[in-house]
Amino acid sequence: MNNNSLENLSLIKKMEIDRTHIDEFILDTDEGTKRTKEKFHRQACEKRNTYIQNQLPLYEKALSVVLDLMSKRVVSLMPIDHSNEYTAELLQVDNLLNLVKLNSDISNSFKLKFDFIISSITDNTSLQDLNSILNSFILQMQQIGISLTIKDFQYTMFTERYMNTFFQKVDFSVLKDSFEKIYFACPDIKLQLKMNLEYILGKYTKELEKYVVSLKNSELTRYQVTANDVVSRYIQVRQMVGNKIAMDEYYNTKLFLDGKKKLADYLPDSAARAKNYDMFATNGNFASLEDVEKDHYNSAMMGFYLTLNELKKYYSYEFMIQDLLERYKQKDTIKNLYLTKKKEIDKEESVREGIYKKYLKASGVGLFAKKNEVNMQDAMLKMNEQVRKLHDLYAEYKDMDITYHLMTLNESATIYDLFMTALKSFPFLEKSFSTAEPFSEHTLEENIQALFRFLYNPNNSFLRKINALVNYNVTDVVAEKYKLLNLNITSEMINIDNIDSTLESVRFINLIQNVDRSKIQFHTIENICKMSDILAKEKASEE
Amino acid sequence: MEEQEILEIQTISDDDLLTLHDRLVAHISYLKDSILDTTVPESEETSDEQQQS
Repeated sequence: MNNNSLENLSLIKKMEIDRTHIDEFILDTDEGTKRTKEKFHRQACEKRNTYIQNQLPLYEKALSVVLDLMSKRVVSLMPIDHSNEYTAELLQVDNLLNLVKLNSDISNSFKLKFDFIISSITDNTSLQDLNSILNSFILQMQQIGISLTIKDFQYTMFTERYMNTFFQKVDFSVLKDSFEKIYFACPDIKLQLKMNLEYILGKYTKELEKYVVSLKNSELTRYQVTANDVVSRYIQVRQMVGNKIAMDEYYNTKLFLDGKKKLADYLPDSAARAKNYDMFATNGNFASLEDVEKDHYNSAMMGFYLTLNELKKYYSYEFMIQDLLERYKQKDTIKNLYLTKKKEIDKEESVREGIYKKYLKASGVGLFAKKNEVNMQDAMLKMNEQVRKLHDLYAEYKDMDITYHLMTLNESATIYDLFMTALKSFPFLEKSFSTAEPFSEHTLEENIQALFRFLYNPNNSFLRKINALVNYNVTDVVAEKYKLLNLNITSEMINIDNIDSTLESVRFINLIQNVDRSKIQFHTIENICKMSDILAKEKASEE
Repeated sequence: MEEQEILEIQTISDDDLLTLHDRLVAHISYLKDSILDTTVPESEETSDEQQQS
């Protein structure tokens, strides 16, 4: 029905008749005395009031019918919530990303999350947390078929002593006593346990590799994908789900319905809408563009939105690129140092084993061995010094790890290739995320997961194209690209200081584009919001 | 309210339903505002009684 038909409604006609009747009701007379006139007026008023009192319930009933109908209309207009469907699809995306990692060049201990478990032991780790970390490590090893025993914890006499108590599954108070006793002889006990765990990973390298290969093959079969296609499958599924969610009618309606976005700003005649659109139009006036130009503008803006999100994330990781490029320059000198350091570590690990054997002998363990307290004490002191020495060597070795990996890069490497190389070095990632301020709000695992998501984002464009080893200004490259597509973009608008405000305008336009591409129209959203607002006010007035 | 009127309302568009709502609210408000005060001021009645006596 159109507006004319609204005028044809019996109810509307009734209202008009009412109004005329009331407005034209004769309330006064010129005839008679003052008293007669007053009496006439009073009686006329009473008569009109009676008429109104009779009419009012009719309209109140009609209003209640309208509100009831409105409530039904809101339900029928409101798009279906597909959240459950998306949850299942997003889980598939996450599982595919895990498969991508399993199939990548990262280390097995990284793939199996042992690196995260070990890195969670820090100077601030409480004894209770330390115990649960040790437990997680043991359980994770069990999952891959390795049952750790006390023999695996003989890195030093102190680790062995603590783990002996640990394996007895005693109360925390007993463990605490044991820890305190060891602590006075070995203040580095936490560090030694951490190094013991790393040592265990080295000891079971072959078993870890075997497990990862078997897990990878079974997962590839489960998802019916080949090792070569796993990245493209992930990208395809993530893009499909991402597009569905971006254009989801329910989610987009809820943004306005819940007041997260102000609907009036997004409607076609809004000044805010015009301002945002004009901002990126080369002539500063989107409305004046020809239809073809508007189509080009909209298409370029969709790409610009995705690139700007990529650029914003890139800025947060840019410090890693700078670090990697500095290290790349040193790659040739590091190569020999790295290999020499490894040999040095192996030699010093043998020294540590020797100290441990001397300790055992001094403890009276072994054939013809006799207990010697002085030699035991001496071995313990030497062990503490030796483990400190090893710790420093490992720290130097780990620092060179990334530079060693960078040697595999060639001159045409892109920014993406540089990041992918960074993934091969867990120590580099650990160091990067622990020192950069914006990442402190999240755990290392969350930060690395976000990096993976960024690198495998289906919408990445410049990351895979810009050469990392040539001194390009990424901001300029992006700005130039969209200038060529006839958008009013300058490097200043998208530099690290201004990207957030520009992105806000681009997001604004992107939401309009997503709604326009979906099955719901802004006008329908407007009606849903108006009706919901009326019903909410009505409910509030009843309460 | 008559059955016919209810049926008519059920078939109108969402835009018209919103307009009808606004007009109904306005009309109810108009009706309420149109109710006139018919109470006679006390002083007036007293003066009438005094005149009669």
